[in-house]
Amino acid sequence: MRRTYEIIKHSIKVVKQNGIRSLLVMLGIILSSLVYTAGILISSYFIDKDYLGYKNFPESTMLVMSTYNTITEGYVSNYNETKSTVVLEHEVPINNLVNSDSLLNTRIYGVSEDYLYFPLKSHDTNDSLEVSKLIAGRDFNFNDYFETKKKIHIHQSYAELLFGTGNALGKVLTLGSKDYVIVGILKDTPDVLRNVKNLSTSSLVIYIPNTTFLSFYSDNNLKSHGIIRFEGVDISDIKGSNLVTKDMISNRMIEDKNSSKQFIELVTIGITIVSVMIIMITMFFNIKERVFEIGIRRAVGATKDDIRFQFLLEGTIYGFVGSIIGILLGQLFGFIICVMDMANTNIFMYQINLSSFVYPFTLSVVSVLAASIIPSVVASNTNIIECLKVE
Amino acid sequence: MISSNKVIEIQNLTRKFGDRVILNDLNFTVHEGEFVAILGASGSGKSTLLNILGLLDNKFNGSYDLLGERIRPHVDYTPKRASSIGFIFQLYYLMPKLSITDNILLPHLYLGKEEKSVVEKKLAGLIARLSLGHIIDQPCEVLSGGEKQRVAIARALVHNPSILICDEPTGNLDEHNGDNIITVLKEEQQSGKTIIVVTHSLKVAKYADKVFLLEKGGLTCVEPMK
Repeated sequence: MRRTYEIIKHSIKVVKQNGIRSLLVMLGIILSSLVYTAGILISSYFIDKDYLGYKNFPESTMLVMSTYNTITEGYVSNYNETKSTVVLEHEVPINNLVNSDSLLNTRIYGVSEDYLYFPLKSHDTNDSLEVSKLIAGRDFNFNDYFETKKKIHIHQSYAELLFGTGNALGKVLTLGSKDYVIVGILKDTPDVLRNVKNLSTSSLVIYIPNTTFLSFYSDNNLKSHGIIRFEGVDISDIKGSNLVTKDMISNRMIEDKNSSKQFIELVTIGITIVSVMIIMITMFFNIKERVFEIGIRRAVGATKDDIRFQFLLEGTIYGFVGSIIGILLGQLFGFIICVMDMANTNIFMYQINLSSFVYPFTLSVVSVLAASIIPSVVASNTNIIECLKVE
Repeated sequence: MISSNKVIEIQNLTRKFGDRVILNDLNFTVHEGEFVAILGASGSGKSTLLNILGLLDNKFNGSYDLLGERIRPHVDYTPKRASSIGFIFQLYYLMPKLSITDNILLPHLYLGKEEKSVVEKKLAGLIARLSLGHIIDQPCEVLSGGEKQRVAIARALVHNPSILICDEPTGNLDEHNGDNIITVLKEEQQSGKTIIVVTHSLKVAKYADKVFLLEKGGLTCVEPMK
C-alpha cells in the first residue's frame, strides 16, 4: 500500500518535473476537451433558443401556425370548433413597444421571419386584410436585423398623416422609447382606408420584421404583452395558415428537435473520434519517447507491472488535469459566444449544463487510459538492455 | 573481508546473438566481499557478461547461481535484482529531469520495504559521504560527469545491495573524479559488499582481488595487479 502511494506521489512529481513535455502531452487533451465542451454547449444553446418561444404558450389554448410564420406569432383562444370561429390574439409587448396609453391600439403586423403579413379578413366589416403592396422603398432584408435603428414599413395614408406629402422614406418614427426608420411605403388596404378617416397615431399600423420583434421583445414573458384581438375571424380565412393543436406543435417540436439532435450527435461523434485520436497519438508518442527512462526504471528494480501502473497513472493525471482545463476553457468559450449572441438577440442563453462537464471529462480520461494501455504494455515488455540503448 | 561464501557461480555459460557467440563456455566464481575486475577490449563481451550477472539479460545457456539461487534463463528476476544488486553505469543512466534525491531514491521506490525514516537517514548519510549536499535539489541534467557518477553510486547503494555491478564506472571521468569513485568502491568492499567492475582501466584493476581477462568469448583469470 505504502509502495503504491509512493509510486503515485512519484508519478505526480514526474508529471510536474517534465514541465513543457507534460504541457505538450496535455495540450492535445485540453484541445479535444475544449472543442467537445464548446460543441455540447453551443449546440444546446441553439436547440433551446429555437424552442424558447414555444414553451410559453398557455396549456389550454390552441395554436395558429401559419405556413409562413413561426409559432411565436399568435395563438387562438376560446376556439370553438362548431362555430369554426376563432379569436386571434396577436401578442404585442406593449410595455416595451409603447409606453403611452394613447398608443395601446397600435397594431403590429408582419412579425414574420419571411416578412409576409397576416392576411386576415374581418368578419365585422368583411374587409379583406390582404397583404399590402409595397409602392415605395424596399423590402426588409437580413442586414436590417443587425442595425441599431430598426426598419419598418407604414401605409401611405399614415405616412402622409405623419410626414405630409414629403418623402417619408428614411424618416424616423419614435414609438415608446424606440426609433424606427421607415424604409418602405405600403399601399393602403380597405381596412386602413376605413380607419384613416379617423387618422391618429393611436391607430397607427406599422410593419416590422420578426427578427426585430424578437430582438426587442423576447423577454420570455409573453403574459406581460398586450393583445390585439381580431375577433370573429374564421380560421379558414387565415390564408396560408393551418390550425394545429398543441399536441401537433409538440410533435413537430420533438421531430425538429430530434433532427437537430441527430445532427449534433453526428458532429459530436466526429469530434469525439478526432479527440480520441489526438489523445491516443499524444500518449503513444509520450511513451515512445520515454523508452530510455523505462530502461532505467526496470534496471533499478521496477517490475513490468510497476511500469504499466506508472504510465496508466500518468495518463490519468494528464486526462484529469487536461480535461478540467479544457472543459473550463470550453465553458468560457461557450460563455463568450453567448455574450456575443446576446448583443443581437437580447437573450442570454448560457447556463450550467451538467453533460458539458461529465461527457468531455469521461471521454478524456477513458481515452487517455485506453491510449496508454497498449504503449505502456509494449514499453514494459521491451528488453531492458534495448531500452537503455535508446539514449 | 572476503568470505568463503560463493556469491556468484557460473558454469559453462554461453551467450549467443544469432549465430554469433559472444560468451563461450565461461566458468568462474566470485566470493562474498571480493573486488573483481573484468578486463577486455571493446566488443569482447564485457557488458554482455555484466548484463547477465546483473539479471538484466536472461537469454543464456549454462548455469548461473546468484546468492545461492539458481538463475533460470528466460525468467524475470526483477525483485531479486532490485534487492540484491546495485548498478553503476559508465553513462550514469540518470533521469535528467528528476532531482538528485528522486534519482537516488528510485530503487527504494520500487523496493518499498523500508520505513521512510530509515530511508531518509540512509539518504542523508550518502549525500554527506558523496558530497552532494550543495546540489541536492538540482535536476540531474545540470550536473557535471563526476557529480552524475556520484549520484549514480548513491542510487546503487541506497537500498544496501550485497553486490555492486559497475560498468566502466570511471570511463567518462577525469583522473581526480575517477580516484574518488575507486575510493568509494573500496570502502564499500570493506563494508562487506561484493564489487564486480568491468573496465578498460588498469588503474581500477589494480584495486581488484581477482582479475579476469575476457578475450574472444573466453574468460581467463589473471594474477591480481597489486
